[in-house]
Amino acid sequence: MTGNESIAAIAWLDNAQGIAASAPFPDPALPDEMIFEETARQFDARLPRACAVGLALNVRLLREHYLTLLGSGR
Amino acid sequence: MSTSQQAMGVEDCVRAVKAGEVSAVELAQAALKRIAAQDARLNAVTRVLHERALAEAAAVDAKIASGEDPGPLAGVPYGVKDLCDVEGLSTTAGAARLRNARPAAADAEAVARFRKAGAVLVATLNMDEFAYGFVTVNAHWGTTRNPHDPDRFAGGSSGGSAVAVAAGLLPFSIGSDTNGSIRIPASLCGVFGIKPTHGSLPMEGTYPFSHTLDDIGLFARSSRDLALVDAVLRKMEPAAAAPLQNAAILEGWFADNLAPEMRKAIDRLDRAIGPLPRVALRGVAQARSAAFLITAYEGGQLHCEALLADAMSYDPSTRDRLLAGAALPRDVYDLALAYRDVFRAEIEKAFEVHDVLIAPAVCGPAPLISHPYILIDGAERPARANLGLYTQPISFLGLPVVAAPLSVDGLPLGVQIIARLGRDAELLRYAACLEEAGLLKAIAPNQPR
Repeated sequence: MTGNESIAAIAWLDNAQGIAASAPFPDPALPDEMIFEETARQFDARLPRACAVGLALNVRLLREHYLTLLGSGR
Repeated sequence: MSTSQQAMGVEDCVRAVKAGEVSAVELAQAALKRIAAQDARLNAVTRVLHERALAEAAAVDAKIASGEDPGPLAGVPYGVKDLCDVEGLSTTAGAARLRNARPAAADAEAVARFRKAGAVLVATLNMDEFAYGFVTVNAHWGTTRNPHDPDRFAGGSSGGSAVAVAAGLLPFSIGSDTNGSIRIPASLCGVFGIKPTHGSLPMEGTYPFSHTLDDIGLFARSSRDLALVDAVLRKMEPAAAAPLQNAAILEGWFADNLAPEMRKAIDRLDRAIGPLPRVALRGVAQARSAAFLITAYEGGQLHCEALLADAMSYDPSTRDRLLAGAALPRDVYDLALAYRDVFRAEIEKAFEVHDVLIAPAVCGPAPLISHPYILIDGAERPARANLGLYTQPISFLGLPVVAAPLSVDGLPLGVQIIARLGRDAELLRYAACLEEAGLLKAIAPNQPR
């Protein structure tokens, strides 16, 4: 590991650990409707219910990528 | 010649027009005829620009008649992904909600440069809505079909741009690439494409998606044609760049999940020019995920207000992805952005030894539209969101990539040829060397291989 690489990686990991602790995603085990409602709260419930299934699917997908970024996914 | 089922290449068009063998108007008329005859089964074209095409072509012919230089792309018909401004037209970005948007007051800078160079704009081309997808399945404009097998995806989001060139409707086209949107359709349709060094081609007058990752780029049926149009866009002479040396093949992440035919095709390339060293980068999965999160966040932020005002006017597949992105916390986005420094350090180590890195652009041949999945780690995942498995980690760093069709039997397969930032011209020269050696080849659909 070079000096610069080490600094970048360590700084990044420190930051990642801080954010991971804040658990920024709804529990993926929740039903679609509950993930939708939890997410929709951020938008003052202005989202149409027709989006519930697709939104929940995509929130779970982003959570997967978030965990991968943190190094706990693939 | 000008009324054949296949458009001539860029170089051939320019030579023929300048030699007086064919007029620019005849080339434009032939392109319009090909679109009329073939596009109903392909759905690559969203709007045919008859009047503009014939006017631009007539202007080129007038210049030739008066002895003026008609420009380096004299009379070459082309098309543009429907996210570049075309004067007098609404820029739809593939969205029904923008169909009646205020018409563009001027051409996008790329379109203006091509016009000045004598190229003739014939059509706007289909895409995934707001460029958010890898399949060119559009709820409003329909699905663009692969000319090698219309039951299969063309790839996306620049699917219309790839198909128009692959099917021989047009000699070249403009697309855009945020996470693979040129490289994936180029590979699935069997043509050459370039995703340039980030920020090196003009973006003025293009509809944005993810500003950190967006680039416009080009499709053509040969690397020489690609280099010619790329140079015009950069306002440069085609470079006599020395070809790059010391290639390596990326393995690890880039060797997992390959279909057997892709694995064989890469092995065949390796045997022909190698054996090449293999390089396994660390942190590729994280890089791909970081690109995914950056795109979701920036796309979500861009569309948030419009989604809240009128979510149901969006294509449902795009809408739900954008909404999830709009809900992403800012610190997750910042973390994803910061990962670039970590991954850049990793790939720099590879570039200290190798000038060129070669990786698959896609897992295998184009998936069937009726079964829109690819296999990742043994599980079926939606093609729309996951075809960028191998392309996202590369564009995450803004590196220049030529997507190049391997010379194969069967459905097209493409590789990414990757270099350091700023080495686009050398990269195109390297691809030309492989093409001259018969290892890369764009093959017209339904023609003997």
